[in-house]
Amino acid sequence: MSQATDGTKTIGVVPSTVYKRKSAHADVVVVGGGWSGCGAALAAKKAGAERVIVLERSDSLLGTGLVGGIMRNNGRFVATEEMIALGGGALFKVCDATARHNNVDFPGHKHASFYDVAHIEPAARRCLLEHGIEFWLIARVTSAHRSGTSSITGVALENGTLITGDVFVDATGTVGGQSWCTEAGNGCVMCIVRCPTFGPRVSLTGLVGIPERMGTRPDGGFGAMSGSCKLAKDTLHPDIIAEMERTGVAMVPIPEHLVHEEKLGLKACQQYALPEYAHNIILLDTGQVKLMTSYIPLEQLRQVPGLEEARYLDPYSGTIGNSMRYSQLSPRDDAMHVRGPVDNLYCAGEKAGLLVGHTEAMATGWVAGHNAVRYLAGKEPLILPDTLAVGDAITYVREEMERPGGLSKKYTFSGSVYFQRMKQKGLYDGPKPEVYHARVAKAGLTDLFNEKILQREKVAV
Amino acid sequence: MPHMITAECINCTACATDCPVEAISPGSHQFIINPKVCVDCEGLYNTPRCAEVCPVGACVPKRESYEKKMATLAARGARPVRYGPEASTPEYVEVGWYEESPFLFIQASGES
Repeated sequence: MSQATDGTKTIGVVPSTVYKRKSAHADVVVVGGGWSGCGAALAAKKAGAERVIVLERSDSLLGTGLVGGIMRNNGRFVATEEMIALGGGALFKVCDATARHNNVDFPGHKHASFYDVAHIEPAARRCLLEHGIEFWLIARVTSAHRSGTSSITGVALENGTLITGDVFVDATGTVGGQSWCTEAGNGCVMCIVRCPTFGPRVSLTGLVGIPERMGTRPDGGFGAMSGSCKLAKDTLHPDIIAEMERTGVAMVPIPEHLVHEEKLGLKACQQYALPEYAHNIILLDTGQVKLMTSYIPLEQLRQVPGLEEARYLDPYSGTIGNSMRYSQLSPRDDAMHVRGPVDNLYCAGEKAGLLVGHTEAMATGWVAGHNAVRYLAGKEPLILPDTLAVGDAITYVREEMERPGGLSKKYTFSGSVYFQRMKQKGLYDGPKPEVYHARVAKAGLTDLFNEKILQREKVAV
Repeated sequence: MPHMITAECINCTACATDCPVEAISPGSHQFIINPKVCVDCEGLYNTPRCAEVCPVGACVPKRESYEKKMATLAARGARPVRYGPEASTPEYVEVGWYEESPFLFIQASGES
């Protein structure tokens, strides 16, 4: 690392050493370095796991978080503050620290924060390294080993490098590969996931032979299309850029002849399926320009005043579609343990259900990582109570997915079905951190995720 | 001239399903044509079936230059990189170069 003049270290210098081990061992092995994988790793470390390794397929952490940015909108504010009070706030604080805009309202959403997609991944890396977590990049897991036991003993990378572990977390997500995006969507759109380069996503749950479910669509199809894309900021009209940078949002009316209301049903993100989105181009400032729709053919987009020279940054082929999600959902219980023939597999993020969002990924990841360590310690797993939004969501989503038709809905703290439920249950009371901290205190769970589970085991003897 | 499947393969299984001599099977990253079994559909179809059904044009006549290059790729994309909290710089994970290449299956499928 090199030292900048203000004392900060930079990561990313050309590596000069070669790590000569052909295998490695960790207490907790997290497969997938997206938001949920990072959450699981941090939770496991804080719970006392000595060695935690994150294995990430691509060259960066965060996965879709690299093109995301929306935090704290609607019910996500609640989940965020509950997680902070629970002691699982490290990643949320990273997002707050890189926020370009706070307390933004946009159609259907209140008090949102937008993190800067340019700075978020290095910040997440620093957070993991500061906590003593090891991560491997360009390390796609393509096989799981059980050695005839009822536990996963290790996972291997494409080149055969074996990483053994005592407990595993499947945080591989549900997006792509190319054949899934072709079958369920409009084809490979060359998105941030970059399947051809780093290899398509491989489900750890699937490697163990556990059957998984697919999300469904109202039209009878499978999967759901990602709900937003990114435009190059410099390609928009300066007035639009200025508005976005000032307030965080720009709404540009779509000429009447382009309005396509029926496209609303295609999106993964039902919380954005409102009429405002059919009649306006809604742009959010996450450093680049987040366009709140799954895709628009470039020819149509460029007919919108101010966007005559617009260009996609992600997905590169936003003209034809977006990446497809929810291809493989792990069967799990409310402790995030994967149901099946192995006893040491947990899941997080999109694997854990039809959950949409970074907040949802971080929260489920944290629970998975925490319970992975409880498993190591021989302790009862933690199931968050339904008096907390985070606990209620984990249970509710699982129950709903087990009902007929439940696989066609999408769940998020930020809108649609689950936000409605939050309001009905009195779980949402606006942007008031103290209310949610008090709620966690009342449940007796303040700072729970910071308790050393493994260490306590030693003391008890 | 037998056919081969290039890296464009999206694992859609159309070729394996339609091959009249069952020469195609799934490999670790993509489907592979066994050159000892492939007969280029001679006597069976006017043009090779796999090339016809492949939705991405990944099924083409075998070219040694392509297979040689694929066999020398040490890893998909690049070698894994390890970031350890105690390491001051990130470290490449040694993969033993060619012997551990995940693309060696291409060479293996070409063995006579």
